[in-house]
Amino acid sequence: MLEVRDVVKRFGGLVALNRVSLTVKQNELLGLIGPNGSGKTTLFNVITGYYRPEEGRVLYRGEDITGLRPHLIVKKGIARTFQIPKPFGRLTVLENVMSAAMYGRKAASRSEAKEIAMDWLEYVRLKDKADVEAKALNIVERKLMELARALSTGPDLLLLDELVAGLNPSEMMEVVKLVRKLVDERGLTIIMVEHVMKAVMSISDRVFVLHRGAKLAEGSPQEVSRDPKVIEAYLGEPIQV
Amino acid sequence: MELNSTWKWIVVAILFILALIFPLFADEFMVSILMQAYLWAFLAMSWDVIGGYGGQFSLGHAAFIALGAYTSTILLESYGVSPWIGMWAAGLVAGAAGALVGFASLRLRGPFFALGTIAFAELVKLLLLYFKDITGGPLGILITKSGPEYMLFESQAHYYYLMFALMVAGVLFLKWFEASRFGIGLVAIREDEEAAEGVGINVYRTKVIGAAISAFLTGIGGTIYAQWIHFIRPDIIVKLEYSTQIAAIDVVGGAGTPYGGLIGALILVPLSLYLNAIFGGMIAGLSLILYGVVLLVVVVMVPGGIYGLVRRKWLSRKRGGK
Amino acid sequence: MVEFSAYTQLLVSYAILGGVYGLTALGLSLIWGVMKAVNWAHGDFLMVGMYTAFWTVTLFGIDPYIAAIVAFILLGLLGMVTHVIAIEPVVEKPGGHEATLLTTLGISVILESLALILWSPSPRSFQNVYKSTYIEVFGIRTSVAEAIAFVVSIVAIVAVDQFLKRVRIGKAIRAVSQNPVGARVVGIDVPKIRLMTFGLGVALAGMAGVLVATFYPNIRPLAGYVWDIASYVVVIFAGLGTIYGVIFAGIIIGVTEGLGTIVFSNAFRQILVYVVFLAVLLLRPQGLFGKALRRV
Repeated sequence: MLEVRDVVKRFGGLVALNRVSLTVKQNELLGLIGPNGSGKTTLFNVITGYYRPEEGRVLYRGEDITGLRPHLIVKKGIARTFQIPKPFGRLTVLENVMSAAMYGRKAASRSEAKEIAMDWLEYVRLKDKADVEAKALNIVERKLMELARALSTGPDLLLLDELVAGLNPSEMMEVVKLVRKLVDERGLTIIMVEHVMKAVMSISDRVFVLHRGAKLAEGSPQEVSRDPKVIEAYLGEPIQV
Repeated sequence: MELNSTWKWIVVAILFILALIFPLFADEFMVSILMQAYLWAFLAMSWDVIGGYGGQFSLGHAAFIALGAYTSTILLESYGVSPWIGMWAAGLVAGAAGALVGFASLRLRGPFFALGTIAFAELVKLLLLYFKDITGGPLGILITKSGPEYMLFESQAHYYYLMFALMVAGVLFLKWFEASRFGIGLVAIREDEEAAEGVGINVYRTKVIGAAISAFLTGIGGTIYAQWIHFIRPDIIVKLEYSTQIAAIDVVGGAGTPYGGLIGALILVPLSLYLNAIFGGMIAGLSLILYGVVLLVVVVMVPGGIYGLVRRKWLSRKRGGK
Repeated sequence: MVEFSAYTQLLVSYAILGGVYGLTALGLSLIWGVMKAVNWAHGDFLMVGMYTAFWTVTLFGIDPYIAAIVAFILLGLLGMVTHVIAIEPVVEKPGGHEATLLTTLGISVILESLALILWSPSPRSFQNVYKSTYIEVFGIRTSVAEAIAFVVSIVAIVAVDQFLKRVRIGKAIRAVSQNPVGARVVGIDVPKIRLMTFGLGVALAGMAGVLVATFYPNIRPLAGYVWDIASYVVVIFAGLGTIYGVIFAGIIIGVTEGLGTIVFSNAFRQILVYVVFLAVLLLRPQGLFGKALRRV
């Protein structure tokens, strides 16, 4: 479904991504992990059009989308959340999510958009906050709102950037279940960047490990967590399955 | 809640009727003051599209007033086109210039944009002076026609109704605009440009069109202004003071809201005109100082403007009453 | 040959003027760089400086260069008062930079109106021996007033640079400009530094106003604008965080204006000034506020 081919992204002298290739199959949940500064968010920014790579291609359903502007990539059916949530602070939660439905893939009318937005707000259990200004939300709610907003664009492929970081364990497990259900019940394809190993390992179909801007390992959660290279890269950080 | 909104409508209806019959019992001076407040309210609301909803602080809107005023006046005086038609052309000319400013806003943020718009307005003024064959240069253009078919009236009361209609149209437009797809997109960009792109909003196009809409409306306001004063000249229209006042009125009233422009204008315009009348305009600058003081006080003490304050108070009372 | 030397004369005059632009821009650049806030009233503080020169010289008959010291102190105080009223209450709030734009705009309007009320709109100037005395170097003639203004500009810029590099408070100002959070962590009183920066920036504007007034015959409430626009161009052209850059940018812009006068008609030259200004603004916004769009 998505194919990233030999992507190189530099910032000045720093090579953030060094010939990274990655594929995602339809209806798969791919966990993208790696230590801080390994290039995970940069890769997201390349896929979603925020960065233009110096080399390499990004293909989506066989179509070259490299360097398309972000709003056009949304229209192709790829949506994302941000590592640090970016709410439209002075719009209500409902308007935040509606904006995505109105401008996303389908360009829904106002009433349709409201329906779509309410559905997703219910899905992420934020419906009772619909009329609150987004800046009043706490960090967990902001993340959930961003998830609902991304979903309202009507994506087939969803990129989640550290969705569960900062959540307490029980909240984390709930959100993780929600994400898994998106794949199992709604047929979405998801790439999720996570620091919390437990979350990634428990729900991913496959895990891709980035280290210093290049692929370190790839495979099932079990394979990856036993990989000595991965263990070394995380330098003793315990990885639990 | 139900009762509350009924009351709201009753109050609005009473105010509306009072405004309509105002010229019947008020003297010419009072009518003229309120009329000017409406005009400034409309200009502030036009500014609000880009300045409030778009979050791009323009200090060059006097240029759009001038472009609108000159377009319709030249059409009227040189070609006999009625301003009832000419005002749309005025809007288009100003709107095209607004699109250029919108392109600039893609690169310029905050104070840089404000500076750019100041320079833009100065440039427009100099060009109006330079092309004197068309614009009359420093002598300006005097409107010589008369009659309502040319949007020219005998009494101030007629202008009062014209400006009242303009102001009401402005409020209704903003009410519709802020709930529209485009309006939400523009606000989303103001709040977070990257997130806006991330939900599929075309940032470039939205910003350019937003600026064009703002300028279009301001251009129409320019036509009406010219029709009222009957005389236009670059140095009396393209004044930084005007650009500043428009922005100040909107910020004081509450930027990014449908009523901010009206509230700000109803407070600031009568106050400054009264000050001028009391001191006979002998002391230049006295009415202007008011704008500075009120702007300073509101920004420091009441962020969100007066409408924002009222709304917060009202919301908290509603919540408290629950 | 006669023509050539006339042109040289003109260009040198404009280069000298450009040097003074550097001084008028210095305070603006300092405040902008440290607080990331534009002092919208900068030109009006210049104007107040000009009037300070006018009144002290005409009322008390003191030397205009002593007036420059008076203006430095007076405007420094005025700047600190302005800071307390208009900057400090909003600068750290969300949207604070937009708010400072509005509050300094309010201050600008107030200062202009006050000047109109107190001193009327009619332009003023004062006679002084420096303006009417000329010196000639290598066949280039210039008034002593302009020559002194140019020299003081360079001295002031060097002095400010050294102050920022060597004096304790200066170093603290630099620290705040580069990393306000870090500065606070190492125990710098950030609000106090902001206050001093704003005071210093406005004091420099006041001093610049006096120097301008020694040769500029047009002291009036709206005189700030002419110098304001030039100051903004210089700051933007020089880029933030450079003190020496200001003087070079000033001279370049002065010379460009001179060339504009030679090549174009005067009416068109004014148009050109704004076209160039817009071009500079549009082509050189990097390193300023709106960094790059693509930064997540």
